[in-house]
Amino acid sequence: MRGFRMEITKTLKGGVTVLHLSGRVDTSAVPGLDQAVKEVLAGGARRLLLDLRDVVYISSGGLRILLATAKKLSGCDGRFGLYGLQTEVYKIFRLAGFTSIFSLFASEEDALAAWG
Amino acid sequence: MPPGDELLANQEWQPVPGAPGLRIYPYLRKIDTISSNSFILDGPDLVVCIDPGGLADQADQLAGEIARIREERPRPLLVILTHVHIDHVLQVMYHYAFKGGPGVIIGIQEDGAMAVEGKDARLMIADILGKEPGTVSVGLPLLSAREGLGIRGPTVTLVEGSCILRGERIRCQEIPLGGGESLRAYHTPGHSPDSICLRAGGILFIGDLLFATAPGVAGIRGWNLEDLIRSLDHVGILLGDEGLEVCCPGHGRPFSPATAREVLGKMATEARSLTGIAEVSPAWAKETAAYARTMMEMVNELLTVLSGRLYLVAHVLDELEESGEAERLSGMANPETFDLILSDFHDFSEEYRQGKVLDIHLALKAGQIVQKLHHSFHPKVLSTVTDATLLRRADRILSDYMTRFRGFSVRPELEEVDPGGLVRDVLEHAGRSPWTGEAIIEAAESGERYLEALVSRIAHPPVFEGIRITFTPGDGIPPVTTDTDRFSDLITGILEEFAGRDAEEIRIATSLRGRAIRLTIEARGGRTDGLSDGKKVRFLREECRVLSGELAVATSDGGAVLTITLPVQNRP
Repeated sequence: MRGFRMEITKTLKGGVTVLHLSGRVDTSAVPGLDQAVKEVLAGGARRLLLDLRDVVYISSGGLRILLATAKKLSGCDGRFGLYGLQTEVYKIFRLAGFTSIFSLFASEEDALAAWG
Repeated sequence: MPPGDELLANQEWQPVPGAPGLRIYPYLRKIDTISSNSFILDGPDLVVCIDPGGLADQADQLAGEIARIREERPRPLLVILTHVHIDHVLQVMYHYAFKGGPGVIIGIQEDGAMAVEGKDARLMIADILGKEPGTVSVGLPLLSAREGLGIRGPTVTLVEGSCILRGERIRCQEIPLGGGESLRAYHTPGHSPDSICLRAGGILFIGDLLFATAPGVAGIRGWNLEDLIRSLDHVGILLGDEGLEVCCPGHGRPFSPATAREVLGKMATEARSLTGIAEVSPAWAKETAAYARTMMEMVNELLTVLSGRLYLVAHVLDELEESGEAERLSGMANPETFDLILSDFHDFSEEYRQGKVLDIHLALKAGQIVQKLHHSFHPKVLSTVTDATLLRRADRILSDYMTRFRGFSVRPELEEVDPGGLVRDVLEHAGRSPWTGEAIIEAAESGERYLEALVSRIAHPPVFEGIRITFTPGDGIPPVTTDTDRFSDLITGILEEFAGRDAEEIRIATSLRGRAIRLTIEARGGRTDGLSDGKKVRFLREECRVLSGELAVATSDGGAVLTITLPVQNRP
């Protein structure tokens, strides 16, 4: 029995695709996240926002997917951002040096406003 | 279910080597704390079941085989225990076929016989494994110290005997099985007071002797170091007998006598280092399980940060079209392996939280996880790239767990330290790459050196950038006797916690309070949610305890204060 299994839902806000993640982005959740991101990008989305408000844990494998996504989107003039990081997740980002390379926002509204 | 091996086929009848009149049916299990291996011996005049185990399904299968061979040729059944730990004896208490009754006699060494008849949950380690002892009537107390006791009833005869091992006369008893075959019992205490080894033909059954020095096993109630060392020696000699072909432990696969002897030799060396270990009791298991969860959360955080930094370095190098170097770095650590191992512990920990597994199981699981991490984690290699203090902390947490899991206390390496100097030293090195800006410029002449410097800089993200940090040393602060590395890491851990929580300012101060120094680290601004009861504070409290100190936490809307109080003279 796994606690806080990750779930992903997708919404569209204007030209921005938002993936809402919840639970633990652990080793068993990483393939699902990878697949969800690939599907979104294969569908032509170039502005991707991840909602991490309900993510309680992210593994290094999850961080790797985020980096790969940032790379793909920067290669095609896209945009990639994250919002709503819980303190424990934010701490990992900060201590690993990810806060300086990702666009982090407090809320979806902030992200959408920043991206015009 | 393991398939058995070339020595004994699992769950199949087969001849006993060196005993033409006997057949054996082994029931071999993977190693766990739920149930032992079991063995049925089919003798001309007697059927013997060694260790019916702890599982009803297992007992059902054994009972079926026993019923079949007794139907073919009616004979009494002797149920005999290598010792009375609950994973060996539970089905003797609850299964209809093994509880005793007409034609069924139960044989247990005298100390074990008294433990089961008195329902001594402690000696049977039933309390620690969460089992309720049932009723057992022992018809045949074996190897009794009291003369005359033990030879009871007409169904089973005991023949007294002895052998000389290492110049010492060792008493044994022989149980005739008919046709000139017999089962010989030797008293081999240590793992428990009632442990015995049994020999039938070319097979020696050694119970749980092989596990007697394992963490979480060494130190259980009834465990005795002196007896264990003597028994390891004696059984080593028994294993050297030329006629012996198979050694059957109480858990897991059989061994060749030579392999078992080698293992026992190493155990004897290990056993000599176990003087003074803690008793493995329910309280010990609870405390160790709680510590396991706390330390594993910290290891998880540190290894995720470490892996994240390595991924970041690889990502940046890739962007700079240095994919060869990126691949080389990826080969230094295997973050996927860390993730898998840590995820395994998390899943187990969830089962623990839901009450599905016991304290002792979580403590044992953590021990396995730490060993796996140790195999995948190479701080020396990684320190050439990333933060040495981060690696040192992760490595030490793993080592500390094994020390506690082994039953020892974690001992700090004490020396006299100037607290002010130590704080300044921490601040000077915290979150900084050993490569300064000037050094990188100098390295630019050599492509290889420049790449090395670049990697190091990316792998040391400026964690404290933008945070105003001040230190106000108190007046008249004396040197303290403490562990420099642990104290430094404690401070670094707190600073990182505040940086990770986006503090705007961190103020550090020292003061003297009687015979203790007080170090306050105050964060202004940033996130304080979950700090006072969070995993980091639980861990830091444990670390302070190792230094004979205390940690106090106060949070407010505007920030948080962590106060460490350490005795000036630390006497562990």
